[in-house]
Amino acid sequence: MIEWILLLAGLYLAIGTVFAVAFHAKGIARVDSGAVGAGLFFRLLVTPGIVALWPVLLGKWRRRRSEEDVSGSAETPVSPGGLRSAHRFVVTALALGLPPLVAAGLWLRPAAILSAESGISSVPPLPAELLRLEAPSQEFPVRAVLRGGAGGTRQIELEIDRDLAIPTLALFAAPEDGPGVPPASVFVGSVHGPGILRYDLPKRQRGTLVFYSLAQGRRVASWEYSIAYSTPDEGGS
Amino acid sequence: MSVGYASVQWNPHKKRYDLMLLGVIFAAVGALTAVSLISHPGITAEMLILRATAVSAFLLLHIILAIGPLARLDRRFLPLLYNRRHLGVTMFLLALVHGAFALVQFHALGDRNPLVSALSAYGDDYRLFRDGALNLAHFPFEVFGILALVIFFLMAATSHDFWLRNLGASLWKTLHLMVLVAYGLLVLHVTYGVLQTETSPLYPLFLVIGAAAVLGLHLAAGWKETKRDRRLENMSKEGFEVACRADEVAEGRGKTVRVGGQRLAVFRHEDKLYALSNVCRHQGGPLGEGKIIDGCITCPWHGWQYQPHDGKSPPPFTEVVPTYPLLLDGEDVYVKPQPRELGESSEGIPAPPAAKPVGEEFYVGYLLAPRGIGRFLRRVAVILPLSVAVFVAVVAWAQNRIDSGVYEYGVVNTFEGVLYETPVPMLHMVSSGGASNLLLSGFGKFGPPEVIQGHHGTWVSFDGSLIYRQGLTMIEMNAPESFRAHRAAKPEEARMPLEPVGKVSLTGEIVDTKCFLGVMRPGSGKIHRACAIRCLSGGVPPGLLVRTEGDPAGTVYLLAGSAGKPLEFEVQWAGRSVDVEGELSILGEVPLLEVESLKLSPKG
Repeated sequence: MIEWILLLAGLYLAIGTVFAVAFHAKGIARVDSGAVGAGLFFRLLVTPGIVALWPVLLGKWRRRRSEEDVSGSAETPVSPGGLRSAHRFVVTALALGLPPLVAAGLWLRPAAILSAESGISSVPPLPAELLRLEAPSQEFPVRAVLRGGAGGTRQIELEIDRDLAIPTLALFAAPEDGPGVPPASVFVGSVHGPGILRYDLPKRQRGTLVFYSLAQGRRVASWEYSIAYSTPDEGGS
Repeated sequence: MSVGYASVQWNPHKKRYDLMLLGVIFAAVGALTAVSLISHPGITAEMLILRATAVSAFLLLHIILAIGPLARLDRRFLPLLYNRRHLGVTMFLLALVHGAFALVQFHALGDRNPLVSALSAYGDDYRLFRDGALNLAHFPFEVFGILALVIFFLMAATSHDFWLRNLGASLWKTLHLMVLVAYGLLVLHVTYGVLQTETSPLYPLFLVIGAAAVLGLHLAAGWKETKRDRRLENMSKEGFEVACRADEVAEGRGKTVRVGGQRLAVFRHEDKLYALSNVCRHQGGPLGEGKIIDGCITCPWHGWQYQPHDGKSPPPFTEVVPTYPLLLDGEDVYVKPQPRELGESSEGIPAPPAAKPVGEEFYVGYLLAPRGIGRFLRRVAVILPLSVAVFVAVVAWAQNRIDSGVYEYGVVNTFEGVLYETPVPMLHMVSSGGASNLLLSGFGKFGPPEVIQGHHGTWVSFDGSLIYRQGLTMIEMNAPESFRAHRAAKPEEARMPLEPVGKVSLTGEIVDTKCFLGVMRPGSGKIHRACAIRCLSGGVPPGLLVRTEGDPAGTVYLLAGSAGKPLEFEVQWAGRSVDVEGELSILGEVPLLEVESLKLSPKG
């Protein structure tokens, strides 16, 4: 159906284009003597209208060939009363029709939040804070808090202010630093922002945290950490 | 008034007028661009163009529609009416760029002709009445914009005086009256489009204030005209009707009177009175509000001229307005409502001298502007662009937060790993650092190309570009000819890292993952709905965008069929809220929802 409508519209405009060529060649001078000798830019300006309204001009051209009256505005003045009535009707219709339609549109606006909760359960209460790590660079605005719990468990909490815009960024925990992802590294989890992310870490007193983009195959940042004391849960030092 | 046509009849005032117009457009586009780039740095160039042209065109339309009634209410605004045609054509060109860009952005490079898509993408939602009710909530807002653009095209294409003459003034004016219909359509386009996505209360407030101002001005001007007609009602005498008092018509000036139910103009020229039609042959301007310049009655709108004694334009021009017999009885001027033969000459009725006109300056576009009017116009030329810049800056600042995400357009890398065709097309990349799972799509609004079919569990390589947002990454396979299937993956390579979480029920919006991850910003909501429909129809993996109080930016869950069955849903549900039940798993770092039930939500 839509294809047919567009095809007919295309056909109409194609006929209009052919007509415009013929009209510029012969018809325009017959229909309107004012166009005789007019410049190329004038002809370009009126061409879209000729293509769109070619039946009107074709009618005028044919009547001119048969010497009928084809007068334009010089003999057919504006009817101010009729126009004023039409204007009053349109403005009144808009003044009455638009407010309820706009009000309905505002009332129909969808809620931004549709779910009370996401499908993934929240993280349990946090163990004690052990160490704060500041952002390694302005390009990587990630802060971290290392936390320790009973039995030497370790957690890391990442605070990320904005979308890092780094594809498949992963966090690894390595016993010692080295190029790329060092040997014996443990995959901690994928990293993205903004927000607060929490992960379990291996039970180590020191090590290196490496942020590595798996899609780009490059190290983005790293932190070396050392926790020289243990938490009260671990008996103190 | 013309003998032969020129493309544009330039004069100094028109040039200054167009400079002011340029100033307004630069102010609007510049303010929107600058403020958006500062306050919403994630915005894409395409979205900036779409928004800048939309805001500029809509604002210009308000100015255009306000000028007419303002000039009726306060004559100082008459000079702004003089070149309103250029305002209209410029507004149409801005709207055309907006429409063309929207067509390319949201409908091109898909599985359907963009024009066909623009008129059919939403399926049954094109029916304004569905199931016995008004389907406004999901009716495609683009339709309102397309209809308005067609009207603007017809108006812009016929804006030259050639059309005024060849269509006839009445038909031409009626056609151009359609601008009010187009305005109504645009109000609906905005209400059911951008206002369904943008959350700032300023947007509806601005829309309501703008519409109230435009319609209020038109109603006020109409009320003033009606009141004036009532005041001009008169008495009759032997076929003549009393029109006014002779001393009400100042030397060189006219007065609008109402005789026989029509408005006529009575002029005094060299202490003789003349009665003519009040309607200028050009665009129906009110001749009675004009002035005699060089012995000719001069229309206040565009300066067309007529001789008082016969109504003819001075040679070589050929326009004529009707003249009417009149007589003087004491101080009362009587006019016969029946005109003389067109072009018939008359002497005019001698009248006692009248006072010189005081105060009011008269503006003619092609002459030097009087001092007071010039000062007023200079103020407008400064205040208008500045006001527009401040207003548009507020509009830009109030935009919703722009979605994050990166589309590495033009950056092509080679990727290799294990191909998964199910549950959703992915590349399982294994490197020295570990494994990751990257979604796959094709070029434009298409899913992965056919070359991947039959290679599930195969070690493959191909070229592509990355698209990523938060923890999700996609490869756009924009060079299918680079695809190579190397070998069957080893069992340890092919192991799918799927960790079940459990059964969940979620409410969210269906999005196409390619746009949402970074190709479009925003890649969700009603204004992106047509594009999402095209992408999903082309095979881009669908996702469910779930926003919660704690996660207002939202998380995307990949959607797949349950137990190996294909996912069943209507692509027209894109951009709408759905209720989904299914088994949630984490595939590597990607949340995957195997759907058991998916239906439109009553919330949306």
